[in-house]
Amino acid sequence: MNIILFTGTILLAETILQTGALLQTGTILLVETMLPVGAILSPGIIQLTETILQAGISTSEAGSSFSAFMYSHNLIFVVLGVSLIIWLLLAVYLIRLDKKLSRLEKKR
Amino acid sequence: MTLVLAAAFMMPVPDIPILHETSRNLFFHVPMWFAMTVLFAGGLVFSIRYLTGNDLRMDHWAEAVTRTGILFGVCGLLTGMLWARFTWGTWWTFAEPKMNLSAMALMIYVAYFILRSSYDDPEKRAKIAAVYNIFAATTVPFLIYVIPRQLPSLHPGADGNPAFSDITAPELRLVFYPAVIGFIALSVWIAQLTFRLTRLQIHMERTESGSHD
Repeated sequence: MNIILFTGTILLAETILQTGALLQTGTILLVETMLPVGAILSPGIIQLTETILQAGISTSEAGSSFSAFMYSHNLIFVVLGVSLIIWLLLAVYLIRLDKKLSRLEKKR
Repeated sequence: MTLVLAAAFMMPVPDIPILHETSRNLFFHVPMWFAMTVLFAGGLVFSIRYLTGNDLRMDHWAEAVTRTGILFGVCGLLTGMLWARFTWGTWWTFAEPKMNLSAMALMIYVAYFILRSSYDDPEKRAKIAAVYNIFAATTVPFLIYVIPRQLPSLHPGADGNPAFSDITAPELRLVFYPAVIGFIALSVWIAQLTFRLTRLQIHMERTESGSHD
């Protein structure tokens, strides 16, 4: 049922595969997953997905080791990256607070 | 929070096409926005309380919760970008309304601090900042929740997509709701630390200027 969320890619997927465009791994996976699903799409979603995928294609790095690493193991490293971003930002903020506090203590 | 984090990584999740393991990001990315919204709502309340009572403590509370709210908003934005890169294929797209309007909401709040820094008189600064904070808080529901739902978007609940409640597997909710509560509690704690530090700084400045006089 979750597939409904991304059904906007079907029409675009067909077009892309027909033209034989060079796509990044994620987009190819997405295209392959979506093709078997038939659905009626709203024009807005189609247009939006086209724009998003076009942006993805233009920024694709074929053979990038970073991308390959992130796409491996069912994208689990994306989850790791997301949690690391949160904890790093919060840690940096808390360390800054701690430094300010230390400065105040020294002044005293 | 430890239990939530452990469960977020270790619990089995349904294999959703395209998302795969990244459906676990639901436990990290989405609570950031909940925490930010709660803090900005707090900023609204403290700003109103300042304007009605002229108590500078309320202004300091408003500043602390807004500062922390921006921190959580930036976390939400960066985590969303990473997630988008590996599921939608791009770090950023101007075609995705929720992404752009969330960034706009954050910029409105960044302007709050620019406005604050342009006044030296604490009373004047507090009053202007409180009025601006009320304006900023009223834009948040529209920019982050109302308008994106009216436009085509790949986010759940937007035009053409099923709502979040329709696509979330029941087992995900067991971790998602505690994660939301945990991150909100963490954000409130950080805001409280920020508030206490601000108060301490002001107290020290007053003590110093008093000893110089």
